[in-house]
Amino acid sequence: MRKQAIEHTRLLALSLLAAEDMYGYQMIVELARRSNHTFDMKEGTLYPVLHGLEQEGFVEAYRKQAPTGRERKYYHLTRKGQGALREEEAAWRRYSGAVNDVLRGGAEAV
Amino acid sequence: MTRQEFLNQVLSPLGRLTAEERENVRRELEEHVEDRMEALLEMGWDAELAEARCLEAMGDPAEIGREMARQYRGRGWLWIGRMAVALTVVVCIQALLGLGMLGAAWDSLSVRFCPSTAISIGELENVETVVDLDIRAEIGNDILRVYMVFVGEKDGQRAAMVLACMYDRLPFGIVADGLASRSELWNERGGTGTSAGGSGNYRAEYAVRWTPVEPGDTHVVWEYRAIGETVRLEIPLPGGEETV
Amino acid sequence: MKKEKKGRLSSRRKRSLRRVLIAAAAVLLVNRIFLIGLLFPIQALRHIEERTGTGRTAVVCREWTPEIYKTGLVYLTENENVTMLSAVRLSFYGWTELYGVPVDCGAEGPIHGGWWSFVRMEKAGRFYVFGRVDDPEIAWLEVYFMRPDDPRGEKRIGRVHGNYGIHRGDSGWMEKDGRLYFLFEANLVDWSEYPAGLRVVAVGYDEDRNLVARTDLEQGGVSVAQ
Repeated sequence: MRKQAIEHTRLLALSLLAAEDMYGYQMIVELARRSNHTFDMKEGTLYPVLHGLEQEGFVEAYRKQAPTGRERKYYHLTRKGQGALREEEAAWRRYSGAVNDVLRGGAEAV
Repeated sequence: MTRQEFLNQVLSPLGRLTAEERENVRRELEEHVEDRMEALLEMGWDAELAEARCLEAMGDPAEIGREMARQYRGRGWLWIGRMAVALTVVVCIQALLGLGMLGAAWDSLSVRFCPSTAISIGELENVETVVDLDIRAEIGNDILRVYMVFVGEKDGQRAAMVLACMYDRLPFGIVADGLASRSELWNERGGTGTSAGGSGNYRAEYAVRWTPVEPGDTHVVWEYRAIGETVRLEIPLPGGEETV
Repeated sequence: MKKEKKGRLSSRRKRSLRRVLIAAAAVLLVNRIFLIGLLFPIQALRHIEERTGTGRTAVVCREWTPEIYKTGLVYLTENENVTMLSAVRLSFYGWTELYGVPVDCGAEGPIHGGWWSFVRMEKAGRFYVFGRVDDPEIAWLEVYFMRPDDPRGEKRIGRVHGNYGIHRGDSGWMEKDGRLYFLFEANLVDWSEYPAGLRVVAVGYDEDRNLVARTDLEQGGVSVAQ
C-alpha cells in the first residue's frame, strides 16, 4: 500500500508542475483544493518524491520569493519531466481503465 | 516532539548526503512547517497546539528521512564529481610547479613570428650583407625554416653564415631535437665550416652554421639529416648577381 | 547546493558533470601548454617520438621495470624507418618521458639494432639489446658481448634474463607490420659490471646454423634525457 502511494505521488507532483512552477507547501495546498480534500497524504512524504524527481532530472529547482514574501524553493518541470509525465499518465489510464473494466464486468455478472 | 527534534529525526538517516544537501533538506522542511503554522495561527489556533498539529500532518520523520536517503543513492555521481575535483587540483598544482615551462611555451610562439636574432654569430667580422629570408621545409611534424644569412669574414676567409630554426607544425607542439647536430651547411664546392652553434628546448630549436664562400657563389645548401630522409634547402647568397 | 545568480539549485548529476568538464579542460590545457600532466603512458611515448623525430610508431611490446622505477615502463616501438626503445614513468607530474633510443633502419641490411642500459643512479638497471631483422634467411639470432678482457664474448653480463639466443618461433621474436623484431634484456645488479669499451655484436644464422650475417650494434642512437 505504501509503495503505491509513492507512485501516485510522483504522477500528481509532475502534473501539478505542468501548469506552473510551485514550491512544496503550495503543491500540498493545491492538491487538496483540486481533489476536494480526497487526498490526505502525509505532507512530509512529498519532499522525498520531489528530491527524487530532481536528482533524476525531471524537475529543476531554484529559490525565489513567494507571494507570501518569504523565499521558497520552487520546482520547475523540465522537458525530460514532461515526457515522464506523459508516460505516467498513460500508465495510470491503463491501470484505472483495467480496474474499471473489471468492476463493470463484475456488476454485469450480477 | 519539538520542531527541532522532528527535523533531527528526518536528518538522521541522511549521513550519506553532503552537508550542503542536508542543510537544504532541513531548510525546506522547516519552511513548510512555517507556512502551515502561519495558516493555522491565522485561523486562531494556539501556538503550541498548532505546532503539534503541523508536525503530525507532516508524517513520520523516520520514514521521511529513509525515503529521502533513498533518493540520493545510486549511480555514484557524487564520487565521479569528487574524483574530477581531485584531478583538477592535482593538475593545477602540477602547473604551478611547472611554471618554468611557460618560458618554453612562449618560445613556441616567438619562433614562429619573430625568430631570435640574438644568437651569437661570434667571430664573423666585416659583415658585408645581411638578408632576412624565409625558406621552409616540412619534416615530419616539424617545420624547418632558414631565416637569415650573413656574408662576412671568418678567420680571415670570406664566409656565409646562416641562421635556421625549427618548430612543430602546431603551436605549443614538440619539435625534434638536435637541429644543430643534424645540420650541415655546404658551399658550391662541397666544403663546409668547422664549428657550429645552436640551442633548443622542447618547442624551438635554433642553429647557426657557416661555410667559406667565394665571390661569384650564388648559393649555399643547408642539409638536415632526419630519420628516414635528408632535406636540402638551397639558400641564395646576396650579391651573387653583381659579380657576374 | 551552489546558489547561482538566478538562485538555481543543481542536482548531483549536473554538479558532477560540470566538475568533469572542468577537469577535462584543465588536463587538456596543462597537457598542451606545460607538456605535463599526461594521464596515459602512451602520451609520454608520443612526446618521445616527437622529440627524436621518428614520427608515429606502433608498439611492438612493452614491459614494466619495477626494480628501477616503481612505475617504469619500457616500450619497443617501430615504424618503417625506425626501431625504438623508450622508457617512461609515472611521476608526480603525470606520465613523463625518460629516454628514447631510436635506431635508423632505413638503410638496406640484414640486421639493424642497438643496445642501451636503463640505469637509475647506480642502483638497479637493465641492459637491453633490440632491433629488427630484415633477412628472411636468418632463423637464429645470437648476441655476443665483447669486453676488452673477454674478446670472444664468452662471459655473460649481469644476470641473464632469458637466452641470448632466439629462434624463429620463440616468443623472443616479435612480429609487427610484417617485420621481425627482437629484444633481449639482462638485469644489471652490480654497477661495476657495466663495462667500458663494450662491443655488442648480433649474429644471424640460418636454419642449419650457418653464418648469414653479423652486425656491430651501436650504443643507443640519439638519447633523450628527461
